[in-house]
Amino acid sequence: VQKLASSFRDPSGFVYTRDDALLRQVNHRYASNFDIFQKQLYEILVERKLIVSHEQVDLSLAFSEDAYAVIKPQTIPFISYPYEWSFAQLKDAALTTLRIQKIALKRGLTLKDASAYNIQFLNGEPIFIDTLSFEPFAGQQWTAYRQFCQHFLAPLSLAVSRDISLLSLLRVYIDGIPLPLTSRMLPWLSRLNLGMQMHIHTHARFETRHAASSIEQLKTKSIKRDTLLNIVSNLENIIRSLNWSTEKTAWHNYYDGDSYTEAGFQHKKAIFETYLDIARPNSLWDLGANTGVFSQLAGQRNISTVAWDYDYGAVQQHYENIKASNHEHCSVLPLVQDLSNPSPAVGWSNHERDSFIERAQGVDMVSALALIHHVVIANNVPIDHFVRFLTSLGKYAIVEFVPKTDHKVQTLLKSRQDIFDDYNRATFEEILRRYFTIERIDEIQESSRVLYLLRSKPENTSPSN
Amino acid sequence: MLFINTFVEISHHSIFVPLAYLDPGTGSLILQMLIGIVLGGMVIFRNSFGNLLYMLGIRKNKTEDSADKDSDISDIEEVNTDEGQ
Repeated sequence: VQKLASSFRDPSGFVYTRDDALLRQVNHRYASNFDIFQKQLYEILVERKLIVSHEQVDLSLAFSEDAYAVIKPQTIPFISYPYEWSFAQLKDAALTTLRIQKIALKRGLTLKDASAYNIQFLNGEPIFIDTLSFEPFAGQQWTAYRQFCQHFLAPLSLAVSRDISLLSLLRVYIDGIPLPLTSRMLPWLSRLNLGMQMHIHTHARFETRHAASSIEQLKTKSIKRDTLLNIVSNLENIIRSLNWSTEKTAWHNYYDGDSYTEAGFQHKKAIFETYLDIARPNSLWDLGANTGVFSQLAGQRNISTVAWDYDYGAVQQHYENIKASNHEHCSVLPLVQDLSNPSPAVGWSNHERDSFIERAQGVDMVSALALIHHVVIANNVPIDHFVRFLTSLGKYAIVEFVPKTDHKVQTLLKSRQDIFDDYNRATFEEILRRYFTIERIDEIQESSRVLYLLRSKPENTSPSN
Repeated sequence: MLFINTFVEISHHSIFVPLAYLDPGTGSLILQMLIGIVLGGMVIFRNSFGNLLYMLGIRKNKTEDSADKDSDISDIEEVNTDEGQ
């Protein structure tokens, strides 16, 4: 029995694992809230796929004596973090949070937190996972208003008015981007926008000015439900109006480039599918997935897939494609990741949010198509380190080797000295054999690139350095 | 600030104990009251302006005065709360 390291802030309850099952204990202090939530809100939210469903299990499975109830929530195959989402994913998560708050208010409850970490992606759609986030509405102001602005409005507006890469600030500020900082970073003109003025600029000023004021006098002042609904609708309209287009980045039309002939590209797909059918993984991490052409081949086989890419535009495009396909092959989750500096373990004690590598536990297969030259040549990582990194991510691997003669590699070498003497197929295969059994080698038609299907040697169980 | 204090004085009284574990920030709570007034004023203005246009025959539909234009949640039955209304 083990408590989840991320589940400690809210005394209402917590999440733990018992015999590999994920359970949530509801503490006695939350008892009446939990009953009201179950009675007035739970089913409506589940019907609309806005919250994970759960079943109540026997109290004997509780973690501690303080348990009022124990629930077993629906499983989320992969836990992602807001700093790994594309703009569109963060925006959808924000709208989901507001929609839940609107419904909750109608049903006589209110969200007591609005953390972006309470949203996960399930079957391509955002879903709320914190069952204990509700309290009865009795005229109190929205406690989570500031948190909502920090977690959603601040990063989204910075991305639109300044730069998309500012979404990565969510990695630094685990409780959302501070509003005074956001206010200073936004363009001056945003002060003329009523929404931005109220929710960011004035909000930041009020936060600083009343930092030491007591909450006592406010306890006796109530806010009407309709007023609060107005505020939530206003936030909804503002978030809806924030748009970031994928046109702005370089990678989303990478496939349109001239890396393969049409026949070569079809051949590469066929080989990839063959490899999937040989290894039959349940889960796959596709590194450098771009807009997910290959991840989707895994999705078609119902393989639980995470499609990582460095580029915000490519990830957003992939996410939008899944949405547009009406969530066909929605077992694929596109996420942003810079492999040269992957998500670290962050938060309290470095345990609150798991690192990229920690979350690879139990992944069956990793693929790295047309990735090696970006890691080895553009980023000076030795081939050996790259191959060892792959062993830490999955039992099977699919890797594409892109030789120096390839024009993409030539482009990378144009502006720098070629210090990569061992960057050749023979050395690459020799290094592969240190860590993997090579199951298949296939040369892609009308191309100098080569695909490998690899099986990790049993001794490679320790994580890479 | 005088404006806010006045508003706070005249608003409804309902004693409750927040169960929240987050620090909401006093400034954020005060701001909500203020934004509530601003948005409420805008809704009233928009509706009366819309009704004026309707009466003058410029607009065909009478405006709705509800904050809840969301068709997806309009079917959800409201539950009464003790917010002191």
